[in-house]
Amino acid sequence: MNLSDSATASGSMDHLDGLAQDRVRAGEGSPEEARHVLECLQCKVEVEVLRFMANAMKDAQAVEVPAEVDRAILSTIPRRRRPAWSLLAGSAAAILAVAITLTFVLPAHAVDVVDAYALSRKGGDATEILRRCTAVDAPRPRKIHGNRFVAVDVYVEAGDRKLAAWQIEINTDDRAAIVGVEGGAGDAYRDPPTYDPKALQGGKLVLAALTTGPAPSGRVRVARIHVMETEKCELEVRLIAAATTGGERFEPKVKLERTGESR
Amino acid sequence: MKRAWTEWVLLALVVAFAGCESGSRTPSPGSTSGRAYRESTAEHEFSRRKLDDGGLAAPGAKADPSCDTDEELLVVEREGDDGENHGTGDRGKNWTKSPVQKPETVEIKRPRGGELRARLADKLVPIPLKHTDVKAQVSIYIASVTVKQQYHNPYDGKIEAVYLFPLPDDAAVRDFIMVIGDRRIRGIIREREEAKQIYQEARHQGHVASLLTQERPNIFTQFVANIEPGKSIDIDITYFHSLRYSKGEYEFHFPMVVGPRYNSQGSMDGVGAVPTGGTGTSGQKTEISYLAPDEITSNDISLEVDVDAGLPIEKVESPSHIVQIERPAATRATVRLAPNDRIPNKDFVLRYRVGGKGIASALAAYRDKEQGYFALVLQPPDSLEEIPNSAREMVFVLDVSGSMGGAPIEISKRTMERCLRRLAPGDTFQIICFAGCANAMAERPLPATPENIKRAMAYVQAQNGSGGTEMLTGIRAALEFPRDPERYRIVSFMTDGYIGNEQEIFGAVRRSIGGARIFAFGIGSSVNRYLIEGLGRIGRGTTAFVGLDESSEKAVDGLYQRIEHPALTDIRLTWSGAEIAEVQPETIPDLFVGRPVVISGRFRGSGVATLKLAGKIAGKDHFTTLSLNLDEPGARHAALPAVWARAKIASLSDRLLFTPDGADCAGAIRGVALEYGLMSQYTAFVAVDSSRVTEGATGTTVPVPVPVPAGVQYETTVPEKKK
Repeated sequence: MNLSDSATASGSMDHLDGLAQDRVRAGEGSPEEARHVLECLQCKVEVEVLRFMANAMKDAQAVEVPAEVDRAILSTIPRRRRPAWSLLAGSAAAILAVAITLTFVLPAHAVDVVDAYALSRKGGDATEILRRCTAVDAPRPRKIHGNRFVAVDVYVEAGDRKLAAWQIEINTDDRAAIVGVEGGAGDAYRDPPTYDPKALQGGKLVLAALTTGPAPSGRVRVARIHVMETEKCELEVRLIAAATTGGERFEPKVKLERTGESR
Repeated sequence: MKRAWTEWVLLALVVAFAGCESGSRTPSPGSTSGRAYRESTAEHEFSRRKLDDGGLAAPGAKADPSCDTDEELLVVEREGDDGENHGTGDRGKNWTKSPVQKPETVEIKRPRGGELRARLADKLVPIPLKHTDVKAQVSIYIASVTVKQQYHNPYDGKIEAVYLFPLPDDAAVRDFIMVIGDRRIRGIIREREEAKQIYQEARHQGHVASLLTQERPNIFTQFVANIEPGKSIDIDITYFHSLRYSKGEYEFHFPMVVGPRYNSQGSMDGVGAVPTGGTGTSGQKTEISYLAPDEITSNDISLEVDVDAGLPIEKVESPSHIVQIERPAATRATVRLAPNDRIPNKDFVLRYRVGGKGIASALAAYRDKEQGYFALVLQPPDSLEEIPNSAREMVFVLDVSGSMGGAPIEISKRTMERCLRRLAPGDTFQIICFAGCANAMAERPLPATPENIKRAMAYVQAQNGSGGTEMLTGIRAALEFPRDPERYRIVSFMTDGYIGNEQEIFGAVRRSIGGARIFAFGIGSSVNRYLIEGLGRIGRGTTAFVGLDESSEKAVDGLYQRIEHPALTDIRLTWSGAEIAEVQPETIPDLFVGRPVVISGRFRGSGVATLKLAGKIAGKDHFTTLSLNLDEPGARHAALPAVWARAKIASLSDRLLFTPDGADCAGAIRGVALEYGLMSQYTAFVAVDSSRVTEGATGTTVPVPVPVPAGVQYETTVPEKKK
């Protein structure tokens, strides 16, 4: 257990040095070090700051920081009294530069942890701010009870052309959630089309299917989507691409039609 | 959700009491089940016929003649049958080989025993799961498996079917389709709680809906709501998983039944074993109903595995089941379960040996529009086989709990005996047996002298399976006694792994492992592979599985082959020439003789990447450099993104156990699972048919009871049914 002997804002006592704090952050600290962090507010705050930085760095893109910006940022950082930070000075400057830059673009809780840090340095109680800023982002709350379920058919107006391939995008808002994707009518598109789960998390449903067998023409029901909605809402649909059996691109109309509602 | 669970439990109790005349059974003290039963029966107005235990009446007299007469439909396996003209699925038909393509060779192999045999006066229990059909395609070392569960409502009221079933512990479940007639509805991956709420809401509004949740990495629950009387609904689940590989031999396995778990006193997060109709009595969050020895169901399973090995296949066999094998080409094999071996009460295991130097392709890659994914087989250095290992301190930990009673304990004894015979003169050894508590054979490890080995064999032979499975006591006894500085410690577990506190066990191993290595033997027909593989992974050793119909010789010899030579340890990978990221597993396991390790990762860019592998062999540095052409890998496989994401979830789940920043890991697991559309402990698949509302209320919840695994004694593992 590496304890530094520097004084803290709240009095004179031992604290973990930066390396030990980072071990605790990474889950590699000894039981004594982990216990110390649980009991010592200052160390707890600093571990949280390290954790925040590490998390921010995970998603951060490499950015060239101009030297004058770097100097300006560094000049805002108060000189640390404890030797631990001096060990990390080189990398900490870069980390802090990115972290402080990120505070301008990240959600509010990222700013909160810096506030918590600033408050604790002044001897204040940062527990409440810490609690807020370490909370996991909850998904957007969705009202489940009392919702209604509705089936929406997806039609492609192919006219006299043979519809061999199609790709569409459907956008939902907070009032609607997709709860199933079904195939269409006829053999060509009976299997449910695949969707991109990543896009769906953003409320977008991209569907696509093709057939190398006989292709239908006219008004083709290519899919049915099952939706749970809090209130009646219009889904937006747009064609991304469509092709005829000869591989020729064309732009048929795409329509959504509600077919059944539970309430 | 808590309310919903309570409701399921109460409704399940309705099923338990359904066969009884009103008032013939007394609800458990303090419970409200009696009131719930009366309310529920009044609401649904089921017309029931009396069954001996807990079934609802099937609509139409023809559906289940046994219910009227107590004369049972019999499936009797005769001694000496040759695999023809009998069986549950195709009774009365001859078992013939495929007429479509003339196979090069056809083998019918039958293992010794293991079949569940129906007897006269058995009770046929009507259940909502009619049949399970499994189709697997194996390419390189990745299997793509589709499991079709066929649900059918044999009662005259609407039901919700609930089925607890196993999948391989590394299964990347990535597709879920609900089939209603000829309509196919693809399920949506959502956060678990949200998916459960959507399912409940759809169920209450009368829509046909289904929900798939994960209880353990190898245990899942399928819920299907609002199945109308006489109607059928299929659920298609697709997953990928990697085959085990050792010394030129691949192993595909498909688990068919969840074994009965032992849960420590005070535990509520385990998996409770209950008799049919006993739902809600175990006190555990997850429960599984077992058929009593005199109960049978019509549920059976069919399975087909199509192997494309990429190299000539020298040998194909199933040590667990009777199979038909077709060989359409030298590199391919199609294996099907024989119709007389279709009772889902044991793991299906298929092994095949390929020619040449073994594993087909060292590097497999796949590129999507954003980035690439790769899987790479790290082979142990050839030089390992020439270096002898130092003296060993062998600690054998033998599970002698109730679930091991009968055949499994006898196999453990044979395995132990072979292990003892292979001890080297310089070794020391200790034997620890655990059930309700742990007992060591001697105060301290003994030298491997002939006298001590003889004494050890007598000690092992005296063991019988009974009592609980307090594995923690066995782990502490094996890992926490003082270490011999002159020897390196090998701890060898022999267990079926039937415990419900896997995470507690992993935590204890992680804390106490020190410099020891764990080699875990899974013994039995349906072992808990999640536990066994976890012991091997966290214990930095390896695993082997011995089925009821197998000799343990091969598994023991494999163990000794590995521990007789040092491993390549402390492995570090350095990449250059391409942007490689997030290699899984995060900590590369030791490389033992005959046991390669598969790593996977993401990459950007193209061309040749250089991998420098550094490690230690017997304390000395070892370096290897590999050149990998990402543009021209040995193989391409579209499943690699899902396989990588599943490995990432496994790494995060391990970190969740051992680090204080649990919330970060949980969020990361959720993020990966949603991005790649995979099942996890935080995500679930839900599918709703919103186009139609079924008539009536939500229906009765009917759990699907399953047979106890082959070789496991019902009496010692499932609590007695309350009279």
